[in-house]
Amino acid sequence: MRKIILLPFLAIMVFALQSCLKDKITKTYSVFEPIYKSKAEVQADIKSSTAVSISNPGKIYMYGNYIFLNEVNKGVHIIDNSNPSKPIIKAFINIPGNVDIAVKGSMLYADLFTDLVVVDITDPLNATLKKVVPNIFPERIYAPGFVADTTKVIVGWTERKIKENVDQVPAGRGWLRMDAFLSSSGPQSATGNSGGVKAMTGIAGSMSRFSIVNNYMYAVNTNSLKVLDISILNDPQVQNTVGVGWNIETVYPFKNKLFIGSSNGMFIFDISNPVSPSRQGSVQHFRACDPVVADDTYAFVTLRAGTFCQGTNNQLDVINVQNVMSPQLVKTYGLTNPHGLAKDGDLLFICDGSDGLKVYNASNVFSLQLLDRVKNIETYDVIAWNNRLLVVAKGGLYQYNYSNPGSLSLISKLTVNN
Amino acid sequence: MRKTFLLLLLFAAIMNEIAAQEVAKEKKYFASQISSGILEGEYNTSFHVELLNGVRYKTWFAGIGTGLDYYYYRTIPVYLSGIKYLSPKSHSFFVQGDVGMNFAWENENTGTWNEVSNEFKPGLYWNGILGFATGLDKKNAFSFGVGYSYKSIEEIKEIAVWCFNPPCENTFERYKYNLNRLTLRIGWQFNYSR
Repeated sequence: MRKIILLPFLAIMVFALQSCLKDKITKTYSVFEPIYKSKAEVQADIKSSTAVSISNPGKIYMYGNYIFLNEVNKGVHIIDNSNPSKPIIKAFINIPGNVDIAVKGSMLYADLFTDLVVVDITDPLNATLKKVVPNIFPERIYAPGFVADTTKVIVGWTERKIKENVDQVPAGRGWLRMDAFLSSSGPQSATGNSGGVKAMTGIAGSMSRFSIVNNYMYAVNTNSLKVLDISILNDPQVQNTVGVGWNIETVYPFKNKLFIGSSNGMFIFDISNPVSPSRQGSVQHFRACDPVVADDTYAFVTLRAGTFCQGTNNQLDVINVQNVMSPQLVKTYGLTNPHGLAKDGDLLFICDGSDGLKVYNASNVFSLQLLDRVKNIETYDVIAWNNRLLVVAKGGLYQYNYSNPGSLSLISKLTVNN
Repeated sequence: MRKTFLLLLLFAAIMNEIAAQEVAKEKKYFASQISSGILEGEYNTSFHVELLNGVRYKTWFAGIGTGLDYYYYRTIPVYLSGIKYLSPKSHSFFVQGDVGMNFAWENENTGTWNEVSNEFKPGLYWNGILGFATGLDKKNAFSFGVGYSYKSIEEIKEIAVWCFNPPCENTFERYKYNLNRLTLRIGWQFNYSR
């Protein structure tokens, strides 16, 4: 009997000591601290340097026999593609904060955080800085919660691990990567004309924020469209700034129109008057990231959900743009996690993230036919031109021949850290 | 992990069958225990249920256990157990010690807007219990126990970060949970002696 009475008593005693027990939760995370350089040092370094391997490929630009491949926030790889089966990385141009590129004639235009830099690539192996145009992308001065030293340029980050005790798992606060900060402008210079021959313009991928149409460059930032006169290639002049909307992401030129993708819609601007783009129609969609390409009749928009794009749908929207004042969504196709896309005639190429590259016959937009699919690559953006596809993927740069669109053939690949 | 749990249940059922047919050596026989109870800790009061199967020889028991533990995160403990009965009689105090691992069952996503994914890694699990078993008949006994229970588990969250040029390289936060609880449990023990 005493044993039976003892046990509940013991239980009460033990639970009275419950307050002595504490849960211990530790949290380990990374803190990124900027590495600064002076403006003079950074600008002195904007030139062709020894080729480096591809590590984190970003946007792509094709120009003649060269491919310009962005290394996210680092600079531009210059790739000699005169033999597509053996592309060779020839040089690298250090441009901290660089994410977008465009080329016309012998000039490379690239962003350096808030500024636009103009680099002479007449000889790509001896590229030189020609001009810095300040404050073209003002929103890149800081990320929420962090203010950079505005007298210097952030050229990299060091990672430090922090371990700390927490009371309870916090309600979810994102860790903001501090990778978009100010660079102040440097000395401006303009040294005359680039020559009398009409300069060629290259081809950008659909994820680009730059478009060159004739003598004008159009650059989108998060809420506006900048118009720069580049009739003197090495001396761009800002002509106009046009409000577009919010969370602008991409710009795609087609004839005298600009198709602008944002996280909540697509906008069509007329550039018949190149200095004064005028807004025409738009199509709203739920929140997602969306690059766009277009032809005479339709615009093709990939919507990507997840992460900071939010939203929950991954799809391709086909929009009838014959009446640009009133574009109409005509068809939607489900995808996996689409990114960039390209169109050549009736062929539509879609980078569907981890689901690879997809090739469609888009002659009938109401019934797209999947012709081929390249698996096992995580695709980001694509350029299609003259039966050659340039695909930027997580693993590197791939080139395919699509003369037989039902069976793409791999021409070459430049893999990451190769 | 659910597959492992089901496999263990199947193992217990097979053991039951074997025990029913095996000629037990003197005072050595298969035994099982199913118990449930509360877990009281700093975070909250929760509950658990466990199934233990093994061999009893005189006043000793050794076996393998598994169950469900709902404290903080739902986990499945899998452990080795040893019990020492302080008396060979049908009514006896006992001391129990368990040690093993515990595994998360289904990722618990807090659903915050910038959390891309989370992943759990298993951690240590152990108990120290003082209890009393009272025999109902030759094969069945009711048990009651109190003690201390510990489990640890690691969670890795992938957090989306904003960057100017998507796709953005996300960051990771690692949480290590060391959870200390008091346990109060009741159970039913049964053996397969001849």
